[in-house]
Amino acid sequence: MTALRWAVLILFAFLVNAPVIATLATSLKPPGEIMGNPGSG
Amino acid sequence: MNSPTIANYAEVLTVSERLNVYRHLWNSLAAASLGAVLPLLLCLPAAYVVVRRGWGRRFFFPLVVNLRAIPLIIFALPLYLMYQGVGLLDTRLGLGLILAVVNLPLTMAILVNAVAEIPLEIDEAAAMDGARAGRVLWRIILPLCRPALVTAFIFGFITAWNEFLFGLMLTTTKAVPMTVGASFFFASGGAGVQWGVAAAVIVVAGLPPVVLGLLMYRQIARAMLAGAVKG
Repeated sequence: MTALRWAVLILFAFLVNAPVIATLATSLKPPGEIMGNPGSG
Repeated sequence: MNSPTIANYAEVLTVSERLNVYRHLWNSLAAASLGAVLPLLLCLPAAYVVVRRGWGRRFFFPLVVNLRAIPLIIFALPLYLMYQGVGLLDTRLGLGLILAVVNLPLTMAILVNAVAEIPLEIDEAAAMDGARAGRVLWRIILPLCRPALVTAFIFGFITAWNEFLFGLMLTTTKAVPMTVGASFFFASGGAGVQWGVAAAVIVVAGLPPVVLGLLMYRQIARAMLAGAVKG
């Protein structure tokens, strides 16, 4: 039961913070890598 | 992410024609500080009078607090014309003043609750010793309201820092705040949107309120819970 609680907590924390994580990750990417992403051309 | 780089941050932190991040940060800091401190100075005496004397309890207090419910865009046009008339356009003072108005309702609500929590006997004891209203407010009420003042300041500062509409509308070059400066990167200039630099600017713009919130978190929690349970 404890494991399930932790899993839900981690999933929730990730979902809530996903935009922040995405922005942080993008800020650390070199331009070439971003241009290689779908939809960025 | 294959090869993380800090080149985007280096570009953001380098002063260029397109972006001077330090100036935007300073503009935001100055305007947000004024926008957070001025409501405290205005609302503490007002809250004291509303609670202790009952003046304005029926109309003034609900009117100020309900300002929060009005969409800010309604103020946009008249405010622009007024600012144009008095020369406050594109100044940090002008931006700070309107941010103070934005913060007034919440500050007023927090401080009215805080003053109401202070027992009347403390005021009476001070009055017995010969203190007049101003002295009671300054020497007794102000120190006892400190947690609420800090909470109101933090909420006000974060709201003012994140404010975008008035920053966009009332500033053009000199007093552009960080939020508006960050948005310049979404206006693609020939080479398309620079996603990496835009993301780095947004991270830099978001850091100050986050750090302030982390540092003051305990204070906020304490003030929010004050008076929740009456013994």
